[in-house]
Amino acid sequence: MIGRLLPWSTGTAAWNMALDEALLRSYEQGKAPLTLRFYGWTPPALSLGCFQQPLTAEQQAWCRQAGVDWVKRPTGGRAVFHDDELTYALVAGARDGFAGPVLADYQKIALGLKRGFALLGLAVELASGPRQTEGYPSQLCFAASSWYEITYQGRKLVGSAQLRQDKALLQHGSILLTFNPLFWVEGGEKAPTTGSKNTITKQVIGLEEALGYRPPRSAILSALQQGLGEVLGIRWQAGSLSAEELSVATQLMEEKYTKADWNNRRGRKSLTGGEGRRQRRRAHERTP
Amino acid sequence: MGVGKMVPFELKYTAEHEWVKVEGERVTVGITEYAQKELGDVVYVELPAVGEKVKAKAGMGSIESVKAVSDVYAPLTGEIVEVNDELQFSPELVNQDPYGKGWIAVIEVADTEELKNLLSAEAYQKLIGGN
Repeated sequence: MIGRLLPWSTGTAAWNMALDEALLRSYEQGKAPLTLRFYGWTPPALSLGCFQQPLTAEQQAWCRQAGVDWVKRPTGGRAVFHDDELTYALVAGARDGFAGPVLADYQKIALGLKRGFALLGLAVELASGPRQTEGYPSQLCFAASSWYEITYQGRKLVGSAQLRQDKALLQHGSILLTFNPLFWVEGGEKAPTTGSKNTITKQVIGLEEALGYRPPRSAILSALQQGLGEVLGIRWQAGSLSAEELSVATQLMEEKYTKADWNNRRGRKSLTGGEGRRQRRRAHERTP
Repeated sequence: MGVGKMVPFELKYTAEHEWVKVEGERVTVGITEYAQKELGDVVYVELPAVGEKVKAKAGMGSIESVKAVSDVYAPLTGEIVEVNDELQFSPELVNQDPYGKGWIAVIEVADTEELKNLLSAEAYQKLIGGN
């Protein structure tokens, strides 16, 4: 199977989410093959799961002061602070063998990433069930490991989430290079406490600490794409965005992911109903 | 596996894995046992609003399971007249009792002719790979 590999890029929080959704649509409509991309976030940003409570005014003020952007993801899960990390997004679907169940597809991708880390010399594990940090009920993604999350020596290294629409899926996830607990705790929660900082530090790890050195980004990306390719049976071909994908992503960025109506409200439906109606109309137009 | 608990005989189904209980022009809708197993543990259900107009095969809500967000499609065109608010507090009912307490919404159907497009229990069983 041939997969499209997009070049590394960095973008704002809104652009990154808009592009991931545009790639999913493009795949769903049969206009693009299975696609993988890796990207970074400029400026650093908090992303929230689409069904989480939105940031409070206090948290938004903290973000503005700290120069941290925020966005609500199209995927579920909990809050992630994106700074020194590599994010991956994989768009695939039933026509490439990703026909569900959810956890089975999730496990396949996790095994591909695991193989990629092995190529870097790191023997990671896949978590075998939900684990919540004891005594620390948290809205932070990295405070808990769920099924097939990638951990190293019991500490979470990659946090991922999936959106499934019809016969297609988008899975994106954060691969931490380093972990800054202060940012996480202050940006994601109300008031940091020494206890919670210490607790989360023990539960999370960045790739640099796990390996004992920091490989060049190109080496990490190469290992991960090779691992995913081997395990999923994909031969990667370097590709680029189509004009339509760029246009859809731009529209999604301008009309959805930069709007308070999306970012500052829980759920996928729009208050005004505009986007919700458009989404539902598109869904209706899709070939089942 | 025969038609039974997994695919109740008296219900109608869609290829998108919704079940439909028809009572005149009002239909109750939920997701099937097969669908809830495919999704895994449900942690949040975004319900449609009462009064909302929905179209057959278009999204009317969302379900967040442990690892994924998935669309819930309207099986028929019509208006939402009732929703299962209990799911906001106990989304796990979708897993525990998909054909009972895990129902999602009641739709007042705009055109009962559309009911002909729904699948029988046997047809749905075949679709999901049963005999």
